[in-house]
Amino acid sequence: MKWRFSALGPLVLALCVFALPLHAQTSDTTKPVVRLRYDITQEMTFTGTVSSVVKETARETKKAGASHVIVQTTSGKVEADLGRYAMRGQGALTVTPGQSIQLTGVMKTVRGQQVVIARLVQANGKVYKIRNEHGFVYQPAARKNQTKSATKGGQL
Amino acid sequence: MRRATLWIVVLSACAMAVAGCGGSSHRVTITTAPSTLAAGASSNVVAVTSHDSSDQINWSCAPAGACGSFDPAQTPSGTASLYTAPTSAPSGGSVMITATSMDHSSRSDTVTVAITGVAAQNFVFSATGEENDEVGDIYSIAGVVAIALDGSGTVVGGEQDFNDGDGNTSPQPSGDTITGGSLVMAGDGSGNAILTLITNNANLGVGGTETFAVVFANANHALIVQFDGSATSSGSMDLQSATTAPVGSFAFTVSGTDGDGGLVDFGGVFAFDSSGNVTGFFDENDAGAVTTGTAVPAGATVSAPDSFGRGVASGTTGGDSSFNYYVVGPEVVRVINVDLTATALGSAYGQGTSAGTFSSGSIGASVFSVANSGDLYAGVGEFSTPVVAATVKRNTKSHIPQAGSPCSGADVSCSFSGVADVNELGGPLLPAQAFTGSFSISAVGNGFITVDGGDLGDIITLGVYAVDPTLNILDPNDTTDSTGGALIAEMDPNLVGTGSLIPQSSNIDPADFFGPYAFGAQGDTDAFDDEFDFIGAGTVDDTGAFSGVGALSDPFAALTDGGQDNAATFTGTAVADESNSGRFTIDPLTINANGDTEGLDVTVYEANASQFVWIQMDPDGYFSGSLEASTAFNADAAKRAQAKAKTKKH
Repeated sequence: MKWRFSALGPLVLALCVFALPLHAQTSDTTKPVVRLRYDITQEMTFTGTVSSVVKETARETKKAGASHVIVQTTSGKVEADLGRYAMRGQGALTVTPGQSIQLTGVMKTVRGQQVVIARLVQANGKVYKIRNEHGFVYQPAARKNQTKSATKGGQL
Repeated sequence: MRRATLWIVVLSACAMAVAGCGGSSHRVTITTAPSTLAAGASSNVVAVTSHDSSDQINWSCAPAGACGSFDPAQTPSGTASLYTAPTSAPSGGSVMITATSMDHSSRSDTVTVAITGVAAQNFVFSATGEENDEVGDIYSIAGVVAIALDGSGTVVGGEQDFNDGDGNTSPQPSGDTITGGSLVMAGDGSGNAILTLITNNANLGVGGTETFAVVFANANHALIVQFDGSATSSGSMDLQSATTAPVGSFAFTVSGTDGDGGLVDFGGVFAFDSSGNVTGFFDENDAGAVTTGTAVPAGATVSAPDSFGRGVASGTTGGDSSFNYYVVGPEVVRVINVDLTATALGSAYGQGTSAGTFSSGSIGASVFSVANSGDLYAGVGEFSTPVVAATVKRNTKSHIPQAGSPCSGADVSCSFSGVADVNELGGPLLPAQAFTGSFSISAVGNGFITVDGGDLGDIITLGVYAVDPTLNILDPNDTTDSTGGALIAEMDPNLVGTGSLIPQSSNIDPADFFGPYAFGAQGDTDAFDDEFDFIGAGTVDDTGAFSGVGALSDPFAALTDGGQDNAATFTGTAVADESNSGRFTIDPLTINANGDTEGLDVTVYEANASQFVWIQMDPDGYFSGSLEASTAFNADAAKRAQAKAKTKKH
């Protein structure tokens, strides 16, 4: 019988390994309070006129990256961070000084300066989705796909 | 009587079955074989038999003695044998491969394979980064390149997939064909090289020709950077040691963008059976929306790999998502998404004989590195040997370890403490942050790390996916360095990214950071959040002086004045952190490239004497990458690099 065990043992073990159900451990650990990078409950809307546009920041400007637009509102000037892709590619946002604009975003302090992290921009009669509700910048491809379906989840 | 009758019936049935299957309808068909193969190169061959699935295939070839070899020489129907071509082309320039039925020796099939005159080695490469197009798309690239072994560096073939998810995706299912090119080693013996790949896809690189800067850490492993100005990216290139389909349990992570244009990462554990069926689960972070433990949809499959070890995985993460995979070796696979509206790149590492038997004790003291150039952040650090922190979480019938004892057992919650450096560009900049946390690992090998003390910025929860303890994550063909560890993926609402845990040696010493290294990194600056990448070879002397030469890819002028410079120099002095063993600072790391000089504040963590990870800790820029002990570097090259650096500096 010994030979049978030596021959069958590895086979049985291998079968057992493949038979193991791959049960995932789900994330039910106690999580610390997460400071949201983009807290949608703090969103504000600003309406005004475009004062200036910085389409591409240069290293020398020492501004935080991405496109910026400065908007004159009734309560003063507001600078908005439009992210890396808003003004790039097909269907990109184009605004010029003097144009009406509406920004929806969260005010944050970046390098000591108050900046609106814009999620939505309304201009040219359109609403441009710049970021999602978690503050992640949409890639340019999203402009094509967002019009096709509301959401596909995270499916690749 | 009853038994005798039964035997007669059984024997009759068998005879009828044999007669039925042994007739003229029994066929052998070779289903996979290359039509052309470089001398010395290897490729899968597969044959199937009809009517008798238990039949075996005997592999042979002609001209005998000069036609190559098969491993194994006998395979079950439908199972690949690895055919290795002769080291030189035989008379006539081709060989005939024959597959013969073992049970029916008169049944066979043949194919003719043209053998090109140069023996070659296959290397699997993959990289991700930023495309230098109108919008700066995130893109992924993966492939196999066959490089001649005759010392010429000639690229004799290969195939690849490129995907930016925004209109530039290699045609599927064929991918791109690599028709030629070259690997030109730097003359100084540093291990630096330029790899040129000529493809049949004019949309890629410069008119279809891609250029990569490469640095070899050893003959089987290199770090790479796309270097032709059409894009910039970082990745690796490893000798391909097998081309057979993955079988068994694999941990995996991938990251990229999904069909909605949002950043996404996945991590999980898959099992591949011998028929290509995929089961398992995955965790997902879809631009801040985290879901965990999702079962792989029924029907997910992987196809058999082609002669270059490239295959297709379908339905693994849901929907109609399509990944192609490239086999590096029996337990390492690179995966690339090839959907038209998404892009992602990742790896799968086998779990070996540890599959199903992991525990929280599988993760010990480690160095971690997590980053995403699309999300503009990186974090690296180390944590110390865990001890039991709490009670068993799931299986209450199992042994309950005492608090303070070495941590072990599946699903046991273990605590840890460590120090890390985190740079979220435009956000938290956190050097030398002490932190605490806990983690648990299931028998399947997955779990979560949760940071609950200290400040690692937005790095709070990481999915963890343990790999075979005998695998080297950074250099899969080298098992002499630290092995084991895990892949990690952000499961936070604020960050999307992936990385790895590398076991940290118990006897790390500041003196370990000494000698020759291959190094590389990927980073961004806040100049429009654009990317730069570099690779290089250098040395650290006994005073901590670091000096290297390499290639900087900076097409967006993110770090320097812009351009590609393959004579970039890197100098600095590594200073050991007296408060945190294994941590070093280099401030500044001076990079001289593209006619510009930049000083960067850099932190290095030691996993073991051969493997280090590093991060740039400046408020206006970050990078992260690795330094790996090099055997492809010689002292003369070091002296030349140092002399060149001094010349440029003054």
